[in-house]
Amino acid sequence: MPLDETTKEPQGEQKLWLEKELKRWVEENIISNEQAVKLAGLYGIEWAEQVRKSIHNYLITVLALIGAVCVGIGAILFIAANWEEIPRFLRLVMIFGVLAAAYYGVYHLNKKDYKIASIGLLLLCGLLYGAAIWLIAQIFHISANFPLGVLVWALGVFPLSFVNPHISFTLLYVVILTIWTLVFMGENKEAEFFYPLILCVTTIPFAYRRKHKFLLFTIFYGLVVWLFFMLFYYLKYRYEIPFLYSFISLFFLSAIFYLIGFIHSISPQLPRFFNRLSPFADFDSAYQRILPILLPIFLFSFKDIVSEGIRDVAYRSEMSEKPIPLITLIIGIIAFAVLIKSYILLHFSSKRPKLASYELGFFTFTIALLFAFFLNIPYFPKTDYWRELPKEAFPYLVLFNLALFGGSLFFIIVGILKQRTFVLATASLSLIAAILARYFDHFFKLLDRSLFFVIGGVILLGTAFLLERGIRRLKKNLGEVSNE
Amino acid sequence: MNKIAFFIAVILQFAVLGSITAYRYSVIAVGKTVYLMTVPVDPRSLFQGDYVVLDYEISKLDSKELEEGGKYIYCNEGSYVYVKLRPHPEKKWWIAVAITEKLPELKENEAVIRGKLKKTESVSEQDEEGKWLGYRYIYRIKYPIDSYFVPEGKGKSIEDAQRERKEVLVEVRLNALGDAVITGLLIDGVRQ
Repeated sequence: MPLDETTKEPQGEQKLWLEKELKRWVEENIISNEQAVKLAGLYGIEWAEQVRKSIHNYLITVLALIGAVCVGIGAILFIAANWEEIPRFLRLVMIFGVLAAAYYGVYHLNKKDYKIASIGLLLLCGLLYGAAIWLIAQIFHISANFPLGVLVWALGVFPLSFVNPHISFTLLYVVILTIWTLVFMGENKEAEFFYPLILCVTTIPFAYRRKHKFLLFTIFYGLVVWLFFMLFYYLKYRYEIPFLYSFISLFFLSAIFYLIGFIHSISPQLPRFFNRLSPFADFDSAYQRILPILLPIFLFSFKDIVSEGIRDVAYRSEMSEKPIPLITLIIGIIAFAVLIKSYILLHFSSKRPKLASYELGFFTFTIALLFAFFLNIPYFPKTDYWRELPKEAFPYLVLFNLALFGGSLFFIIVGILKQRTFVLATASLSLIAAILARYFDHFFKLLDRSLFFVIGGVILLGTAFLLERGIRRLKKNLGEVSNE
Repeated sequence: MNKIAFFIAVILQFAVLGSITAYRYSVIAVGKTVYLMTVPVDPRSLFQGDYVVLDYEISKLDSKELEEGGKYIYCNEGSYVYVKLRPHPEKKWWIAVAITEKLPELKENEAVIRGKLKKTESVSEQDEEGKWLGYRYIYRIKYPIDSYFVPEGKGKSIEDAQRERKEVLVEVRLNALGDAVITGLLIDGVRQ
């Protein structure tokens, strides 16, 4: 049964046949469920039941892991806030003891062949090691802005990548290393150029050897975050460019980048010159570019960042002539043009991916919002205090928050429906970061931090438990129905 | 699981944590005790409970007020400087007497603290008749002892004490290389 030459995808009867065969292969244990899901995805087959099952398992694991980490953070916060009464030496014994016990646990679990549990505990060891650095810093009153501590944490976590081939250790390393470069730039108010070198030298060989696209994109994410902040510090302190404009420009660039991927996905006939940059150019990776989209919106959701940014522009306008960010304007117009092109192509395209019009709707909203804000910035009044937001800017702040929460939720749905675990993970993280940020903005004084994390963690663990129970019940019912 | 890598990773992490701890203990054990006058504010660290941000009298130095004077020091990003300290003739705390780019030689009643030079300003000086007298230099220095961790909620009481113009001193141990470890905080002579 030859495949359609133009699309390389089975059509009509071919699709039905392949779907039936895939189900049979799974039932006869010829291929695993995960392999079947991948094959179904490859040939554009909607395989709802299996997809749902796999994504549910993933959701449960993610929720349980985040819940466990939250409870852990809550416990650390509780100890950090209350342990002044314990003598210094005893505190150190506790820190070293807990870490040693956790590592013994990993060794023991591995010996008993509890592979997944040992991975989870080893990951927790990486986090505990970081907590240990911070608690020791607290005991000796080492500066709270301690970039070296974060670097030492990252370099201590890196060897865990060799202990277990699971990708989470390298990912944790990339995340911590990225935090280091941000803390360093924030503390020293200067650009930090070693990060890309350290990151690439230590992680690219892993990504290459394991042919791991997820890791490759995390490295890419790290570089994007670094570039954002590097430009922020470098441009702000070296060339005195208002940081709001550089963040807005980078958002427009990210939107263009995403939409080009979108255009390719709906019009495969277009010259695919971006494919030369494979795997950064294909449709999958367009979805994986959501971090550069969500990051600037996340930054703009902070009242203090917006108020300081506006004041920064107003201050510079007083000092010299009004700065004309022509580059931002041009990139913004290009972003609009690419958006319109996307709408036109989607209208005439025979291939309409799920949620495509909603995706474009999200981009229309955010690009228009950023553009309106950008044009409005020079006209906001100058405030007396950096944390004071001009009342004219308040609606923008609300809309940025709406875009952040709405966007995160939207991409979670995209991740679930399209079974893109990467999108789901990034959007979930974005939502959690947004909730945390708003908590620290508004409820900091109302609810104890440790209690907040413990309650949050228990809720997540409870949700994971209920989800798993629900799925089991569903499976049981389905079994009963099929037996009848 | 790769067992060799596992043991290397564990040993490495414990060695790092152990060396941070051991070095701080060594400074406390052999270091000279000095008291520094402070100017605190009170933010909060997410993972470390409450802490008071400390600014010191010796964070801003004027070459004219230094007993041994001071020359122009070009502020390279991240360059270290050494500040020589001596006890105040009347008060309990210590004062800066010199600033150098290299580790200075110390007498019996002197100590040295290492900091990062953040800025050097040159101020041109003239007498009443407008005759040029030369330059004096203002140095802004950041020390790695800018945080003092306290039990949650206690930071505000230290800030209040400062606002009420009470004498808030930090007890610091300094080794011969200028490394510092905070060992206590005193408000009007009472250890907190």
